[in-house]
Amino acid sequence: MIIDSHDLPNGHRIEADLVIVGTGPAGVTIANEFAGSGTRVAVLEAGGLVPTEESMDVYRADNVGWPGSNPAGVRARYLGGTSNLWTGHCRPLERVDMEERPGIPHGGWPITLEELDPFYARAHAVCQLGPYDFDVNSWTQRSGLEPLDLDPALIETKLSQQSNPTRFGAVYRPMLESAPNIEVYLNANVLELDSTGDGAHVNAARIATYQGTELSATADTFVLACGGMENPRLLLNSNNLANGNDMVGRFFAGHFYTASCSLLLGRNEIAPPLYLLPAVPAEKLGIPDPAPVRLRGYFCLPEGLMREEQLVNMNVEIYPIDPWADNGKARQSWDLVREQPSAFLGVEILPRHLRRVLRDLWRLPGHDDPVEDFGHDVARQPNTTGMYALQTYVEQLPNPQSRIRLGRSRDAFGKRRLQVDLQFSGAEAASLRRLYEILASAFGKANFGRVRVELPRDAVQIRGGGATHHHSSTRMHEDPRLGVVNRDCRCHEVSNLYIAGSSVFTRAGVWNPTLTIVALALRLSDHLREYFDGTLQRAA
Amino acid sequence: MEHCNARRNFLRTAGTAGLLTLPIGRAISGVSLLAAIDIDPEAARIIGRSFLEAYPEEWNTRRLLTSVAHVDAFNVNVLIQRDFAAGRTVSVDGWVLSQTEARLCAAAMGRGHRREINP
Ligand SMILES: Cc1cc2nc3c(=O)[nH]c(=O)nc-3n(C[C@H](O)[C@H](O)[C@H](O)COP(=O)(O)OP(=O)(O)OC[C@H]3O[C@@H](n4cnc5c(N)ncnc54)[C@H](O)[C@@H]3O)c2cc1C
Repeated sequence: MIIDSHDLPNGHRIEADLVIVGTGPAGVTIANEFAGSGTRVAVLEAGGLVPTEESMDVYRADNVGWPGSNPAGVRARYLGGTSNLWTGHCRPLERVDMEERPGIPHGGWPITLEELDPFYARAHAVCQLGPYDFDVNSWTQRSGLEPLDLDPALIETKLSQQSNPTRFGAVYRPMLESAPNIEVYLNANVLELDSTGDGAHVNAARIATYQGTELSATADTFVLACGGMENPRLLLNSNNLANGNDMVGRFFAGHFYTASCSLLLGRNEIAPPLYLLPAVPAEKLGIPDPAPVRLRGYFCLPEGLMREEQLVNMNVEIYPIDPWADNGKARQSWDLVREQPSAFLGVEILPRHLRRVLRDLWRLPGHDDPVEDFGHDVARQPNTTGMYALQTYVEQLPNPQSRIRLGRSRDAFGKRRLQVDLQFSGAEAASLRRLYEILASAFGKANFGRVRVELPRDAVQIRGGGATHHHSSTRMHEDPRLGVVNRDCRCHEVSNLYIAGSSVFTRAGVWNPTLTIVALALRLSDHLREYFDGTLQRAA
Repeated sequence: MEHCNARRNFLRTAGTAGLLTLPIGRAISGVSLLAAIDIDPEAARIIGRSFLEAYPEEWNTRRLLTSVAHVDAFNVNVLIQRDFAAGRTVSVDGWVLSQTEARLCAAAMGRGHRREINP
C-alpha cells in the first residue's frame, strides 16, 4: 500500500518489524524481497511520486573540496530515488577491486567476489539486464561483434550491459502497492534516529512532512537506504550515531571522468561497433525477451598489470568527436527534461542537458525506436573527422581525508546540511598518465590510429566531471576503526541498524555502482529474512 | 578542426604503407617526398616542426636522414609498430608518435624549413 504521510494525523506512530528508509534501487530491492513474507515492512520515502522543489532543496550541500563538480547536485529525492536519473550501465566489481593490494591502502573488502557472485546473478533480473555474462568471447560468438585486436598484456576489452534503464519507482510500484505486508509512506522525511542512551540500539525514526506533521516509526530492525551521501548525513544528524570512531562520512568517494586523451583514426580505420553502444537483438541470444541487450566495450587495463604497477582501476569509452556526435545524448537529454523537468530542480546538470537539446533540436523528431536512445545512434553517425574522445572513468583511492561532514547551514526541517570535501590523493593522476602511455603504445603496436594525450605532465588533480557515484561514506570493514558496518552491513556500534547502498562499499573500483548496490541489497535481504524467519519460528 | 584534419592526413599516410608510392628513403634523397607519398605537406611541416622543437637533438640533418634512410614502403609499418612495442615514441604536441614516423616528417620538411627552426 502507498500512503501519503500528509494524510496522517500529527503524532501518528508507524509500527513495523522492519523499517526501510529510502526507495532508490537499494530500498526497493529489499522491499521487493520481503513482499508477501510474514514480516511487516514500512518503507519511508522523503519525496512523493514526482519530484518537487521542497524535497530537492533538502539535498543542497556546500562543496568545499574538488571543484570538478558538486556531488550533491546529482541526486533525485522522490519515489525511485536517483534511479530516476541513472543511465543504466552495469557491470560487477572485479577481483582487483575487492582485494587488499599494494598501492591501495585500506582497500580490502571483508567479503569476496565469489561470495557476491550469486547475488549479481539475481541482481541482473532486478535491473532488467540480459544474461549474466560479461565474457567478451561469448558475446562475440553471440553477436558477431569483435573487440579490437590489441596486445592483451597491455589493454583488455571489458563489457558492460545497459539497463533500459530501470526506474525503480515506476517498475516496482505495482509491487509496493499490492504487497499485503508492505506500507510505503511518501513525503516522510526521516530527520533523526532516536537511540538508547549508549547509541547501541535504535528505538524509532523521527519523521516530518512538508506540511509540518510530525510522525514516528518504531521497528525491530532499521535499514538506511538513503543513498551514498544521505546515509552518513542521517547518522551524523542523529547525535553522531554509529560514529564512535569518527568514521561516518570518511573515505567518501565518487568516480570522476576526464577526456584528456583522444584517438585519431586513419582513413581506412573504423571504430569497432562493440565500443559504440551496440544493441544485440534478443533473437541472436536465443532468449524469448523481445528487448535487445545493450552492450558497451571499454578499453581497460588487465588485472595483472594493475597489480604489478599498483594502478587504480580505470575504463575508457570512446565517443566520436564530431559536430553531430552528441545527438544520441540530445535525445536522452530531451526525454529527461521533457518527462521530468522538476527532477532537475537544483540539479546542476540541467544546463548541460538543455545545451545538448538546443544544439541538436532539428534531429529530435523521428527517433521513435527506443534502441536509438541513450547514445546508440552515435554508432551509426558518419564520423567525418576520425577523431574520438577517450573518456576515462577513474577509481578514487580510499582516502580518509576525503569526507562529508555536517556544515553550518540548515535545511527547512532545521537539520544541518552536508559539507562535501571530496579529495584525490594524486595517485589517481599518476595512474591515469600511465594508462594513457599504455593505450598509446597498444594502439601504436596494432598500428590503429594515434593517441593524443592532453594531460599536463605535472597534473596532480585532474580536470573533469563526474562524482555521481557516491560511495564508501559508511564503508564495510571488519575493523570498527576503519569502517562503519560489518560484513553483514550492520553498523558495528548499533545492534539493529543496517545500511544498504554504495555508502557501504569498502572501495568501488571503477564500474558503475548500481548492480553492486542491488547485489548487496539482495544479500542483506537474505540475511534479514533469515533473521525474521527465525524470530517468527521462535515466536510460534 | 583544420589543424586536426591536417594531422590526420599526415597520420593516414604515415600509418598506411599502401599509400606510399615511392620508398621513403629514395624520396628523401631527391624526389619530392611529400607529393610522392601523399602526405599533406602542411601537416607534415607542422608535425616535423613541433618534433624538432621538442627534440632539438634530432635537428642534425645528416643524422636525421641517416636515421630514416633504411625506411621504405614495405617496412615502414613494421618499423613503426616495433617502435611502439619498444617504447621508442615521441610526444609531439601531445600526439604519441613512433620515432620513425616523427623523423620521417622532420626529414620530409626540407632543409629550408628545418633551418627556420635551428639555422
Ligand atoms: C546522471 C546519473 C547517471 C547515473 N548513471 C548510472 C549508471 O549508468 N550506472 C549505475 O550503476 N549507476 C548510475 N548512477 C548512479 C545511480 O543512480 C545510483 O547508484 C543509485 O540510484 C543509488 O541507489 P540508492 O538506492 O543507494 O540511492 P538513491 O537512488 O539515491 O535513493 C535514495 C532514496 O532515499 C530517499 N531519502 C533520502 N533521504 C531520506 C530521508 N532523510 N528520509 C526518507 N527518505 C530519504 C530519497 O528520496 C531516495 O528515494 C547515475 C547517477 C546519476 C545522477
